[in-house]
Amino acid sequence: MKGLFIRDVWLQHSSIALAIAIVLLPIILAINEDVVPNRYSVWGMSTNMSVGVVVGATPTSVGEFVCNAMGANRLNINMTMFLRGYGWFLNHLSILYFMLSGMIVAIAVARPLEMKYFFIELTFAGSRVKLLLSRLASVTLLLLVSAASSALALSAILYTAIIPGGLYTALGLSLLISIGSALLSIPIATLLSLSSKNTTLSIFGLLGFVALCLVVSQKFDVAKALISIENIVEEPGTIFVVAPVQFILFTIDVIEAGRVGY
Amino acid sequence: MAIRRSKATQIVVLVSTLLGIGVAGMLLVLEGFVPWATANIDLETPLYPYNYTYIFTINAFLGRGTYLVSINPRTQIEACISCDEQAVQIKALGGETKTATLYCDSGNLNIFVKAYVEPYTTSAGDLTVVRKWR
Repeated sequence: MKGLFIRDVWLQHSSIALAIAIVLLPIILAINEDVVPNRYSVWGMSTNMSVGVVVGATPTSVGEFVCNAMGANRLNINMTMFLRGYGWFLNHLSILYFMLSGMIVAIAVARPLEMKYFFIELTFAGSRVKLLLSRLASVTLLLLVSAASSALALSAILYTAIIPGGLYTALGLSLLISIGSALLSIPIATLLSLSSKNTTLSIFGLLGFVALCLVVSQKFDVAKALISIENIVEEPGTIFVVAPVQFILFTIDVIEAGRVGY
Repeated sequence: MAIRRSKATQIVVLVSTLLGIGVAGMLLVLEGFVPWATANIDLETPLYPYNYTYIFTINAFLGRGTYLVSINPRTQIEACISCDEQAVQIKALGGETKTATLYCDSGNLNIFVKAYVEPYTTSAGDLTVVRKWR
């Protein structure tokens, strides 16, 4: 390998746009699905008597009151209850990580070789399998960097949403979700890309794979283990996140194809 | 004229941009620079022709963090801000703004306000709750 092999993958406009989309994904999805707690209520009462009915303040004999800490009950939430509450958000996040990472892999992998010549190329000395492996390695590096930076923002959201344990637990769970989904998409997107003719077809294949998992998970729980999606049809918000990214991606792809001459 | 950079420089710029966006998003959410980390509450009272006392109970649930509660009353006011096992008491006269700071691990903040309302007024002041990280 001569020179810096990652430049082919890392410095495409579509890869950069998708990496930035992966980093911005938790905040956009948290705004869209209203995850961070932001509720308050005000209740008022006119009185000329003492304030004995109000929890949080004990009245004294001279008409004042003394503060006590009984006003707010302490919430004891364990991780099971937290995941029951925010599991749908984490599901949507993991499926979007999967799809965006798979798009980067499809863009990087679809061009060097096709499935039709794959086994022929394996037997030749000067094959392009080495190119494929180098591209996969550079894609893995790019996905690790973008998923790790995305996990920073996600950990802040989970911290404010009162995850039990604090910021380090939130960071661990965020890294698990983002890097796990990103790494899971690499073999599936590679197989789909090797069996398709161009990038657009392999990205549609990825979407079809996700839809297949959705359909199968209606009947069997095995597909939920592969990609945890349950309510993507009932939640139209995720489509509004995916559709602009798809549009931008296809636009950039067309521009690049016109300029470079694929 | 565009400056031509080497490929390694471009990759370093890309990686630091991605990390910078991630850290900026983290601080944006944690430090309360987003609209959902602030609650502006107007303490509205009914219009009566005499002096009276009005009590408010405010329950704010803005997530885990340090809460800055600043009260700007019209008249004399007493407030009790409590969360988990701690409580802070504020006494303020009309026109002065007082701020209390309280770390709230469970995110469930209760504010009790006792206001002395003057005749022919419909407001006892206003109150701002901001959630910060530390």
